[in-house]
Amino acid sequence: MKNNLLWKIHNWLGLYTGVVIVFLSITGAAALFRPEIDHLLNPVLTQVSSNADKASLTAAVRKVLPSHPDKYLFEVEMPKANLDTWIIRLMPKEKSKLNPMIWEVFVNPHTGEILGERNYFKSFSYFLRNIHVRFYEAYFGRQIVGLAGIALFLSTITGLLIYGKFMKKQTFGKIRKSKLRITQADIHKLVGISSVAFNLMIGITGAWLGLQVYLMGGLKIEQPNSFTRSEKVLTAEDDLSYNLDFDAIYEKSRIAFPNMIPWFIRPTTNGEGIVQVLGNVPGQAYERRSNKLVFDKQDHSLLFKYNIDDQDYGAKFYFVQESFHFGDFAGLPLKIIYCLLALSSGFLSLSGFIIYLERAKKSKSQLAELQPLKSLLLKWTLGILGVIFLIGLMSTQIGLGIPSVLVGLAFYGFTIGYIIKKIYTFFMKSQTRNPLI
Amino acid sequence: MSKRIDKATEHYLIPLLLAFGSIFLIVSVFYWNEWRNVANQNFLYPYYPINGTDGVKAFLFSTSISGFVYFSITICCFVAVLIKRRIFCLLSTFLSVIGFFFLF
Repeated sequence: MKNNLLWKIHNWLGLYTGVVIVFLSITGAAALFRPEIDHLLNPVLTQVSSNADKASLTAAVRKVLPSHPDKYLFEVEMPKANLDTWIIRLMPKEKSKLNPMIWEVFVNPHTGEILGERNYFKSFSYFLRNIHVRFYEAYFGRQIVGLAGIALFLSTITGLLIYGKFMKKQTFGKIRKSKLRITQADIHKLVGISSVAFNLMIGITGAWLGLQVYLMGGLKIEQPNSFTRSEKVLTAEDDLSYNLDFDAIYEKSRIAFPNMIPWFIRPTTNGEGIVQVLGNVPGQAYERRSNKLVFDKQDHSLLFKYNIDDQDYGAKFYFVQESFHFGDFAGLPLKIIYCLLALSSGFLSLSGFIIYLERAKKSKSQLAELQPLKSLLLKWTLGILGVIFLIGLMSTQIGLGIPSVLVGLAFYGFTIGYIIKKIYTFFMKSQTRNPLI
Repeated sequence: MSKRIDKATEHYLIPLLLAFGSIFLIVSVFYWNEWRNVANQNFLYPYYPINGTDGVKAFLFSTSISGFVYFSITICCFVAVLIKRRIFCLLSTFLSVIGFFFLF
């Protein structure tokens, strides 16, 4: 492929998807620190002074459930880094589309005391995830983010392929300061080539995570650690209200899989009569819920064990997507590195846009349409930050449903309006050039 | 008069080393973090006591060696990028390729 074509693809992708990549870069950099931010913002719910006393998880669940007759138990999350407490998660029996809910009850694991409750969908932590993962748009937001991942991947590949041609006789790291366009182009090349591996990885994993549902359906891929019991041993009602001994299941899981640190205990509610224990194994960089044990609810017998270390490369590849994308496999130091690299993706879009504008200045025909660079950048930056702030405010005050509908209406309304405007402008121009009468 | 540059180093080896360097930086942070977690037991305490000190010792030894080796390769990559000498870049690329295959 000729370099000129590669440059055109790089230029076109940057111009039309740059603003989306800037948005995802900022929100992605913030979303990396969700557990840490939640830990800081909600000390009453997530922090307790540690001691040797240990409360009963079974008793805690039995204490919580009667006070929520309209909800059923979904899962229990165990203490870990940035979470000192148990989270008992409940789901409403009657689901509301406009006001969806995952109810979280925080319990002190040393005393069994209930520390507080909240709707997860109204938490700042959820807002950070949702604004990055799907633009807070419920219908096709995730898929649009997936397409942006493909754009980032292609933009990085084309950038890498034209790097040599654009460096010419220039040495690596040299930044010329003669003109704004040249300085920005040198910084663009330096930052781009330094973060090429990261951007490729984020592009691939982002595309996979965004389009996962379609890709798995199309390629007939099943989740590698899925387990379904073929027969229903309980009625759905009995399964839902089964008095599970969580402490016994926890102890069983420690024996059955000593290296696994249980993170989630999740009982079924559809009559299968099983309980899943999902967890992390020290020394692994896979998604934290990839290792799994499945027990029978009634006799606590082990039905299924899944250790990702024993699986083939396909399964391992499947389970690195999320952890690699969110930098969730090496604690806070890695998240800081990821944050800097994530912001570099946004910077590349921004510097690419400045280069484009400066180059466009050369074309006298476009000069009249150009706005001053500073005001243009200020407008877009304030616009992006304003939108994020507004959605954040609505999300934490109202919950998921209404802001999601409003974002959907605004997003598709803006897109349709923009397309109509472009078509109208195109026809008006062609009318002026070739009048019918 | 324009100065000639070593294109193989500037246009190919340096980008390759930067890519390897960033991968190995992340790998060495991963091993260091795993070592630190288990050494301090800060994410295990008080609910997840590790049984058996032999397993812990082996884990700490293996993660410290891996972390040290990958961090050394990271340093080699970035130093080679700064020095920009073809021989150093080639040596670091060779080390990186070996290190990369040992990841799997």
